[in-house]
Amino acid sequence: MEDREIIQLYFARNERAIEETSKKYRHYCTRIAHNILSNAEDSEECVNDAFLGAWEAIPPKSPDKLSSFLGRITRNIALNRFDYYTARKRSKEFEMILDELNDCLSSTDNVESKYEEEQMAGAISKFLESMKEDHRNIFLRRYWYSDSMADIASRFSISESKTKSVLFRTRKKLHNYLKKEGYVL
Amino acid sequence: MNNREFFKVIGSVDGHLIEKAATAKRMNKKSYYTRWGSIAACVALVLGLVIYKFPHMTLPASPQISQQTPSASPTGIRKILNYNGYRYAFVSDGAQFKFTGAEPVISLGTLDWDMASGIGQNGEKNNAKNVAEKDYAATFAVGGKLYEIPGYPSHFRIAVKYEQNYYLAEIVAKVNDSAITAKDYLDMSNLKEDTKDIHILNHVGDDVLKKVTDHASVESIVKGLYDAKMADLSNKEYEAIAEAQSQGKSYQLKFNLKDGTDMAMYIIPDLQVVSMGDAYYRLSGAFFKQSGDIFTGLKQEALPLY
Repeated sequence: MEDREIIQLYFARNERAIEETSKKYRHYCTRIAHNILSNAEDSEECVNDAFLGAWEAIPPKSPDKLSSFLGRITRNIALNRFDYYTARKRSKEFEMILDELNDCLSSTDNVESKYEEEQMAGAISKFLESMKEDHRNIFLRRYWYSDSMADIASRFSISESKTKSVLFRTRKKLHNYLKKEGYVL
Repeated sequence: MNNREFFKVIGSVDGHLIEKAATAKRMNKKSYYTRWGSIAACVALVLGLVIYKFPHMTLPASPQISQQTPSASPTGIRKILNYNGYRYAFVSDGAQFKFTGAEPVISLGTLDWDMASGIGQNGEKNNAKNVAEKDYAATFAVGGKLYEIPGYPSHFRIAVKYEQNYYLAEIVAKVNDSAITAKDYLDMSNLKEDTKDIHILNHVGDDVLKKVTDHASVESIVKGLYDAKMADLSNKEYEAIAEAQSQGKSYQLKFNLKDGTDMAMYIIPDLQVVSMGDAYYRLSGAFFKQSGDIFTGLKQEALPLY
């Protein structure tokens, strides 16, 4: 079913909306959740909650891209759970991803800086659009989809060393770009 | 803002970019092999004139190879193929080449598998991940025939004939990602015998900073590379490599070969590392004692930040 038709089902408050969403995007969302939580059961629960979240959000929201909209909700729920499961063994790979993102921040201390999320995301999108397509995709596979280094290297048929290099340089560039745009992070 | 909040902000970037990244596959490697078009074309032209003027003159057993089309644009899928357990990258991102003097004749088989779709030439469907490790799988020129290049019995470089055009492919790694020693890589590439001279360029490869033309220096550099050891680099070292590249401390070593083509490695003297194919190797102190002077006083612009 086309995304447009699924969104119409949400607007009509027809419960088939969740069924169709699940058919089309369960696998996609589960992978995103699993990359963060590294646990099948938690990931499944997270995806179910994400679908419920979509049910609550549409309407009034009418997402342009249903896939990234669902992915974003999944990421956020998984991130909250990741923090919550402090007592359990957590995904080392995802902890590395978060650590790497410190390169984009001026200080690892929690600087009190509140920015409008959408506005800052817009600046990051602009930065990413200015980049080479392959470098942009590698960055998004790592920091949006939370893919492991090995998965990215295999997906793009490059070595892990090359992947690390590209990511390191992109983080540094993003840090400089955001600073130039007036974001003190 | 902490890293978790920042991760969340990244979640809100433009959905179109996210969608594109969802299906993005192999990248087009920034060629390790620099653009040799004009020099090689001149060589081919001179050779052509010689043949025209002196038709009875014996041609060399090894062909001259010249690039016929510009390198592909630096976006899209990286052009690779698997053969005999090795991963090969198409030279100059899949540019066409012309052979003068001796055409490839020894067939090495046909590229039967499309790595992207997992579909074979006979319509057989396989798991794309399995196909990525199969011999005769490729992301480019699927259906093309592989040939041995006269003068490259090691098959370090092979020719691919596809729709009447020739392409070159060169070993960059093993398919199972196991290590290739510097000695094996250099022996297969036959650099010791085939190198005419060496140019040192900036990292991007558009500015020749020094030319090493005397035979003894060329030999000493190649010999020094033989002692390099496979580098098992830490994250910090990868970061140092990336930093050195952006600070203008990485150079391209371009080996101009007797057949009119060239091949390149990247060297960072400060970190004593060199790349061969897709891997990094640590150079010995002896290499720098012997040949370190050639990097003294070289200046290059730092790479632009974006």
